[in-house]
Amino acid sequence: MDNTEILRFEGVKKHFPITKGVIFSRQAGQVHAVDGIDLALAHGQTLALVGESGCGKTTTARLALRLETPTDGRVMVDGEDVHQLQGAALKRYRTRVQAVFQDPWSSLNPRMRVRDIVAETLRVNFSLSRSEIEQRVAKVLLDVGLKPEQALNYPHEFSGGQRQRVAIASALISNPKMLILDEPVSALDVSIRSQIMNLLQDLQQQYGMTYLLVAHDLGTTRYMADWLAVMYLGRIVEYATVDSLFKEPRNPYTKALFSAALPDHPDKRREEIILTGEVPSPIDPPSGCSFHPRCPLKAGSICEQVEPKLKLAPGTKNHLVACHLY
Amino acid sequence: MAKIIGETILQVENLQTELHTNIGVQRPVDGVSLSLRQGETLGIVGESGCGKSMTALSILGVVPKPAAQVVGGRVMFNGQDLRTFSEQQMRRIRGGSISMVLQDPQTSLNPVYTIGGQVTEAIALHRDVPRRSLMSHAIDALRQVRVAAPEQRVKDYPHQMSGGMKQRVSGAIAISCDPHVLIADEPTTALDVTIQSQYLRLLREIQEKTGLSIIFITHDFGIIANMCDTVAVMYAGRVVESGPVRAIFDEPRHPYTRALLNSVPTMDRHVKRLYSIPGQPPALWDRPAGCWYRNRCPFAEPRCETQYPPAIAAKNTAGSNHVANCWKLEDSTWITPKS
Repeated sequence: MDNTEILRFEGVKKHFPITKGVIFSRQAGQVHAVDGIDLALAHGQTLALVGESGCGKTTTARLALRLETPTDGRVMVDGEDVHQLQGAALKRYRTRVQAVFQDPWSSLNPRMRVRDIVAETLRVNFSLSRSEIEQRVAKVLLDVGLKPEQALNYPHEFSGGQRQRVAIASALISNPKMLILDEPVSALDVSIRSQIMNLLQDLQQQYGMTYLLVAHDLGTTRYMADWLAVMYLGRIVEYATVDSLFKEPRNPYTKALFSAALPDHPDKRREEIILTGEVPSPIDPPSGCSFHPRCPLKAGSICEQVEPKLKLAPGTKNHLVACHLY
Repeated sequence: MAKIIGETILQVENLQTELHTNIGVQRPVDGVSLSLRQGETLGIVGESGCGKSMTALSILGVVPKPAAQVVGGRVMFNGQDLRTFSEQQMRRIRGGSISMVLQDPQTSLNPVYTIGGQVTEAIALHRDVPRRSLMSHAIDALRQVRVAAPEQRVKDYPHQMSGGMKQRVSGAIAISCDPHVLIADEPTTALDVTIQSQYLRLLREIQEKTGLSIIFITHDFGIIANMCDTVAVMYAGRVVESGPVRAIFDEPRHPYTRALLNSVPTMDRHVKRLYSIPGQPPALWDRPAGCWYRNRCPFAEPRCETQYPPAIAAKNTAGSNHVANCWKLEDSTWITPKS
């Protein structure tokens, strides 16, 4: 495991236009899904993006996958701007970065056999013989805990956990350097979740992969991740190692989010920070710090006027927080 | 937060529900017994397909007919067996004395009626309220679940509200007729954590004010820890362990309960390796002989292969209320090992 950087976001923004009218459509506004994100991730590490629905975590993951084009800023993988890639370099990127999505019922083509689903990346990006492809497929199926004979089955013949294993196998086939995991376990049952989480951890070691994990469950992120980025309305409000963040969250939003998590024992009561109202619309986000209308610890009028930048929290080496209190 | 827990209000005894499928008759609910006292919250926890929702539907007699049918057992509510009630009598119970909140407010609210119309519908059916004052009762119900500006909101349609607000509206419909029992079937699964915690707090407050009894169906032990007084753990259509919430967390006796507790990651401490239960729950048509959990159980013995274990009391501080269906409990000191 080396410490060189594999993924970098530089001031990335993604705004989706909202149009009105059918024939003479005009732009009526913008959804600020991702609104200026900077982050960097080293080889072999796991970074988890957490936040409530609509905070832009999935859009961030899709930007890294080149499924969205940024409105502004750059997404770099191994020092190359992902959205400028063409030809052979683009093919190489596609084999190096793969994804596993939330719902294995919709992410696998029901008309394809598992063998063909898993081998698709190989057939598109490499020219290999049939027997070579078959060997590779058998190997990844074993790696994810399935039997090579199951390659001939269709997705409907598998249970949810097994389907997620097929989805992981199809991501692994090209020996990727980085996996984007978008809520990989939240559609699964409790007893299956831990199987898949343990599998992902083993595979990360075995294949030397970097993970970008999107998850809303804080327990999952604590178990899986090394780094945590807390997002609110398209911005990162806190960024730190998992240990540091769970030990002492700094941003008032992170504190409120953590306090809303359910306890793991009936005698444990968290001191709940009650947030009023709901997340504002990303179409017209509040001025200054976007959390200020709900913030219980507001520092003053500066919160309404100036957007806080991510900076080092006092007394820490790598705990970044965006808040005027620090 | 002092809760007053009273007499038993709902007693389910050996409830059995059959499902007629093209591969034969299956039993998604196979002999479930539950007990709920006034002002108490009972949590039913289990994985999908374990029969927890089907149990709730069977209590209310709203299983998907004709494929499914409640075939055995008793549902004693205030001293009467609901299974002997006619359809007409049951219609008065449903939404009146026993109401239900479903998982997804997106599908449980009707998109073409206003919020006010849907809340007043329930009130008009179950309460003796003059027509003129129906809307003001609906507004009261919405105010109880903290919908802001309910006078305006009653004119809104479901699509004009957020997920959390819609789930509050479902809650308002459920409590609008002062029920004795509320069955909540995963009501917060579709909600964000901060909204979930608001909703759970609201349910607790309503319970303290009205002495409502709640059956909370969930797969999340966090919700059990946060909300429930007693717990029933279900596996493959049967209750395998039940007891007071602290006993279940501190001294689980059934290997399945312990395994479930150990396989959930927590944000409160770092776990090096999660326990994971091998295999998956048996299909309805493929339950093994003997104990249905034995294929996944690290403690299985030869007799587990032949006989389904009876409910055996755990001899601990929780007294006779804590029972589990596992042969291991014949040894009175048995507690499932940590991992």
